[in-house]
Amino acid sequence: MNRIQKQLKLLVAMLLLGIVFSACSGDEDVVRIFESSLQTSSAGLASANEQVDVVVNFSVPTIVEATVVLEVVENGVIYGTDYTTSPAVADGLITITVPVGSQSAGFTITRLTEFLDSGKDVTFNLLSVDGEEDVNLIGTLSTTVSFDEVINTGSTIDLLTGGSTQPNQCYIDLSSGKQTAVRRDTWEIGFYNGSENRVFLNAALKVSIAEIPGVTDLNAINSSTQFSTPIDLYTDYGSTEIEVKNVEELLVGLPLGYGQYGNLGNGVAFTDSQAGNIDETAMGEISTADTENNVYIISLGDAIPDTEAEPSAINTAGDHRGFMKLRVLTDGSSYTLQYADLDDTNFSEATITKDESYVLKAFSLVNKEEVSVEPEADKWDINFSGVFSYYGPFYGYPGAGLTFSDYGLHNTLGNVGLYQVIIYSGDDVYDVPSYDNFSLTDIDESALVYDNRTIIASDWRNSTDGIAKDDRYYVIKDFQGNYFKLKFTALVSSEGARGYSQFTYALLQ
Amino acid sequence: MPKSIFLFLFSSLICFTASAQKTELTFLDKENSEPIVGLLVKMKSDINGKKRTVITDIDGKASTGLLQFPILIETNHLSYAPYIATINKVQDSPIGLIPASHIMENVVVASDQYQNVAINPALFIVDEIDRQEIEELGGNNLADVLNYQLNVTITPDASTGRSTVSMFGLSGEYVKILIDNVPMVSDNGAGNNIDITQINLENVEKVEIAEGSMGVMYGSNAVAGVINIITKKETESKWNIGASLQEETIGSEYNFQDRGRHIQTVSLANNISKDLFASVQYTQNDFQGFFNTYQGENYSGTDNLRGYEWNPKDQHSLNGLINYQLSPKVSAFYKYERYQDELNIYGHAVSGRLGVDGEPDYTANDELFKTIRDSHHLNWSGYISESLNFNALISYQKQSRKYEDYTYNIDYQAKVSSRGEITNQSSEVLFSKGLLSGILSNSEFTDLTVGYEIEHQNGYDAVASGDHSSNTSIQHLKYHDLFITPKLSPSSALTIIPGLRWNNNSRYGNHLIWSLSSSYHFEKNFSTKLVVGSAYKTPTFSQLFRYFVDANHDVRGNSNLTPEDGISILFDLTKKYKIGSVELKQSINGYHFNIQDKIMLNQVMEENDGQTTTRFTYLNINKYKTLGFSSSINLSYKKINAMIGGNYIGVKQNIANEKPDGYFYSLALNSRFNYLIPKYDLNFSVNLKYNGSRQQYIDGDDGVSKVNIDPYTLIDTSIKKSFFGKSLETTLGIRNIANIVSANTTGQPSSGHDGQPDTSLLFAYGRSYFLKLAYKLNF
Repeated sequence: MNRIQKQLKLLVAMLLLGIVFSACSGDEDVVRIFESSLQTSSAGLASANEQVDVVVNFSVPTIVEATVVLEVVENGVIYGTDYTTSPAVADGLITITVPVGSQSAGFTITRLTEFLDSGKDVTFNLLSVDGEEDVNLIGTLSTTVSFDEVINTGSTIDLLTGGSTQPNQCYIDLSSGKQTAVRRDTWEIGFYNGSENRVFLNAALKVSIAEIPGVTDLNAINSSTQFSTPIDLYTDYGSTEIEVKNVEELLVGLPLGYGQYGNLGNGVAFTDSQAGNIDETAMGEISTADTENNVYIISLGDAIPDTEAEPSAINTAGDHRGFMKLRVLTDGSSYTLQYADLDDTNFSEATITKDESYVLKAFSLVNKEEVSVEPEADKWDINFSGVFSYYGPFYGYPGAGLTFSDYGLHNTLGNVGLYQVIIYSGDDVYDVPSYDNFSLTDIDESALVYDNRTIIASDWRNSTDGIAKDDRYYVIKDFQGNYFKLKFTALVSSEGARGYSQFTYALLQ
Repeated sequence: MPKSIFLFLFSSLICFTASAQKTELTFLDKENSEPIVGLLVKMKSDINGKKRTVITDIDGKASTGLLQFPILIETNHLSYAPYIATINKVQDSPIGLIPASHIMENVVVASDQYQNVAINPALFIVDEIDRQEIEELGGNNLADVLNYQLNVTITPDASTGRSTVSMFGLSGEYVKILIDNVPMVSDNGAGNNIDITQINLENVEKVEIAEGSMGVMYGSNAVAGVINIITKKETESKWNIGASLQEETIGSEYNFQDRGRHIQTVSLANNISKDLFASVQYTQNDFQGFFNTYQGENYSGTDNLRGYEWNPKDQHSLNGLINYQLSPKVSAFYKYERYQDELNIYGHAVSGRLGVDGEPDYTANDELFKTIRDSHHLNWSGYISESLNFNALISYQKQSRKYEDYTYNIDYQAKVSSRGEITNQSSEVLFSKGLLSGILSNSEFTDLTVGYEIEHQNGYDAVASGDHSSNTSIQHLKYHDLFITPKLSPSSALTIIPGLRWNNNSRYGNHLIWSLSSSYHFEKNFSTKLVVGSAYKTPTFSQLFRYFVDANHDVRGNSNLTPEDGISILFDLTKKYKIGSVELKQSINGYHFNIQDKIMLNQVMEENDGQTTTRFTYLNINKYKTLGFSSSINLSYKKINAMIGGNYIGVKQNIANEKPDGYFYSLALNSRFNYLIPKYDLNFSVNLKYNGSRQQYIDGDDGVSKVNIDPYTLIDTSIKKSFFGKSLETTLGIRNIANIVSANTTGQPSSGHDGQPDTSLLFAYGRSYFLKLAYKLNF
């Protein structure tokens, strides 16, 4: 073998090593998929001054200042006379400037005239999203706004729970597709506006309350008060009896948690019932006879934390917000609330007048004011909250103060009925229609539940895998008698963060 | 991977034929003229002092190349008298050796070149997996071959692809893994709890498994034993160019592109001058994952079947060596290795979140781990005088792991968002060791070895400490050790080697590690060994720093833990016979480990503001004992080699607050059969291992659970044939003939809170086939 041949072979071998080693796979870059669509295909404006938002959604937040252009096509109506928009129409186009970081853009349309013949409408066609690269316009590309009442035929609701600290509770009205989000720490107690005199606690903030038997003077109670008769309670999930002799001992078992005290045998729970019925409130009925209304000590729940959790995890319980004392009186048409810090020797008083158009009127003890939380009774069907808590059993097991996340309630007190349809369980597939095939004729009116708000609860999701289960959906009958079907489609954001749940629903007609 | 280029070059290399010039010596039994197998032959060129040590093959042949005549040779074998002679030219006639009637098993051979990089078989109970056996098993990484060791169990983890080794029922924390005597860098330290799938075997000469307490020679945490991997450091011919290709099915899954396992190796070695040797080698091991019932990464079903049963892993390993003979008495080598792998963990759950168009966007959460390991090793060894020899080494290793958590869009088959790449594990180890042996060898009864060992570790491990730990800051650990092993030989039959190591640890202070090993030779071919030593183990990174606290869990590491200690006793009885031309070696081992203050997860009650909370933490309060024996018979008859062995081991663990159980006994059997058909140059082998029901204690998030694992059997077979004058070797094999995927278990904790307890433990991927083509060009 000659020398050249050897050299050649060496060269080949070296080359080979080089090629193979440099062939190690490199990093795959993140691909940005920018899609845009209108939120709904139809909306209605039933009377003058009514407004509706037309929303353009983006699949990912914008990274440049973008411009959304929509074409306006009028059918028997005139801009400026019959309706107006903000931003305004110019040359038959609406141009919206979208700041960096937005995941949606929109404009507001307002009806101006009360009287219009029916059948008139205006259509907005999504033409372009300028500025962003590789924009893909897909799905719903036009929205028609009618000048009549329009029941939403269905849409996708991205719940505004607000991230892994789940700061908000959301009220959703299915017939209008409208979602209202309120921070869950804005109120502690809610006064019932119906004929019964009841006070509900904010289960989304883990508020709990304990009655001091035989005490009607708010000023007589402070953190060192000894009880004339000890209160018999249970701890350790209701298994160990404990005699509470004073306020100091009571405060140990009052906050919501596994160590919370209670005595279900005697009807004592420091929270409203899980089902949320009118006769199951922690406070009991408020009597029109003042002397029958005792003093209560309230645990104000846990603050909303400031720091987000890791992807797929939640961080919903911050520091305890402290204790206060209160007493509620009523004359049947309004409530009188007396409240103070635990060791105060005088108290504040507030009057809450019943308003039948709402289920509850919310009150903030911390900010000493009535707060607007719920939409009108007939304007919400589902309450979806990042946190829900109660004292009581859990699937037949003894429970104490339990906390849940990603929790759905329906408005039983507002006469909304709901039932759950399970499609399969493990390998068992039930003889029920699929979500897509479910129609008006499939409705089982008798299955609608009006005496338990927690049919949805948090059973719809699998938090270990971070997904919405596809084994179930819900059927809802709203206050007006419209029927809807609803299923959850996501638990986490596309980045894996909790607190970005999503459901979709459709009107059954 | 440019496989086509590789194949082209591979086939073009085959076109050349080999032409190595060899020195070949044949040794026969002088009485019956049978070839002597396993004879240690030391050769030394009288011209330049260059040394070779070879072991005779099945034909009694010892071959080597590039030694200039005249050559001094010296043989060593248990059953034959030493043969010392000078050979002046190529020798054709066989050398006859006289069977010894009363020969002591090899006294430490001071002139053995391998001595400095191998575990001394006279001091310890050592088992060996040589190159041939590695080849028969198609072994590419250490996990492929260790399964068939009697006292060894491999514990694989399907989700992470890691495999760890346990010996005598003691987990990987108690077994130290070394490469050329250097503890291998691990996720959070050195030597222990090594992922053995990361150890490439292509460049390995042999794997030594030393059983029992090795604390004096190898420091803390060498309790159950030491696995020392000896790499190749020389070649016989001037040039050696090699390439090999291994294609393997994963269960029944295979195609050339994205199924199965694909391994390619290229190597180049050159004796540049008579004093200088250099080699370089590269291997890729591309494991495409085991699908089983899963559907791969681009499956969008929401039935939790996305991803893999075993996630795919792509490994690359590059190493280089320069070996230099500084003087006739002193040589040095420098070795470099880079290892990198990529492991994708594909989520099983698919989210069908509706996009802006109301249609589902199918996405999944995936993870990517990238490990990079660099190691430098400088070794210097030689003779100061006739018997006094030294070995010194310094090594620096660094391993880091990058982690990325990202969302994969299945419709677009693209990564659509990423939580960014973070380095969640980093570990650096500076290690130095020196040995001076043969001191006092003038005296007939004593010998003395002294040495030092220094190890500095630096690193952090966010995985071991948990996501929420505040202890992810860099941890330092330093050892400075001195050790001494005198050898006493009161009679020619008895050798006693006491050993003592002064261990100075920056965290735990000073500690003495001791051992006593002795051997006694009865009459002909009948010997016994006893190895007794301390079982000193320091707490692991997780035990010290783990932090996992949420609404439902409270598990915390305990930085006040103290090292575990105890005693380990191993006893070995070996007898060799010869019945006609059948050679038999029978050995019986008995062993006992007793570990005090074993660290385990324990439930503790804590009083806080009048409220009692329970939580889990690690405490030094458990006890662990094993008692067992093993026995094996090796048989060789002409071209047949067979081995059958069994092991019966009892483990007794006392978990605090629990009534102690008795010993839980389990049985393991293994067998090896090898038949060489010289006529066809065909080598056939079968390996079998039966693992009886075992019990394992697992530290989980909800405390310790006791898991029972049902029995299973592993069987491998292969057939190897050489072509073109041994330059092309082909091996065709079947792994896991019994088609085992998992073993049934009871007592496993559930994964996830709404899940049922797992009832099986995955540890293999079913019956698979491999074909290896290896081409070697020597000239």
